[in-house]
Amino acid sequence: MSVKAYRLWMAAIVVIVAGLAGWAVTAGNAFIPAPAVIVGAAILYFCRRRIKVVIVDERIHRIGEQASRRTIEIAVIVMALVASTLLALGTDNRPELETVGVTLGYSVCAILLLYTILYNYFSRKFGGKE
Amino acid sequence: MARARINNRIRRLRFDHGEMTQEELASRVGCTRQTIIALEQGKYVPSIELAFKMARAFGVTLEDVFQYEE
Repeated sequence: MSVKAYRLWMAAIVVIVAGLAGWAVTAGNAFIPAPAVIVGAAILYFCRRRIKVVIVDERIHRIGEQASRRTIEIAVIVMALVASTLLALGTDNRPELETVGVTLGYSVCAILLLYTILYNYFSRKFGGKE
Repeated sequence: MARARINNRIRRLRFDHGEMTQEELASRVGCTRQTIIALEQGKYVPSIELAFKMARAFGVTLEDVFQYEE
């Protein structure tokens, strides 16, 4: 399979899966989105295995690593600031702001917890721990 | 502190090896053509594994391809 054909397949599958998920959400069907994503990912995986040329290499991975780290840094800071602002604004007559702020705050904690777990896992994997 | 820099002679070596194309070199070492372009422009420093593959593709030593300058 050529890279061009793979990209066409990828675009088509993304459109179909997104369409199915969108339709399922509006129709109130909770059983379609997950299988649609799994089947789409499986088709893409098999298409990718049939490509002869290299489309992902260490430079692409390094770019992804940098982008992921920056995304977490920026997202966590912005989310924490928004959460603390909402918590400060949330008064007795605006309890919904406090609810959103608490949810956002817990989300930040969950992201940081997951980051710490994965950081320690990879640190052990690559020999960073004594 | 002076900034260390790794230079390379990939472009020179490609032309010395029968005007090997970037695509050909990329397929020999198992990376994308964009990575070869980034390497030649000095925008990317490869892993030690890719550096060894590169040297072997040209049949030279590592230091014939990459030079470390402080």
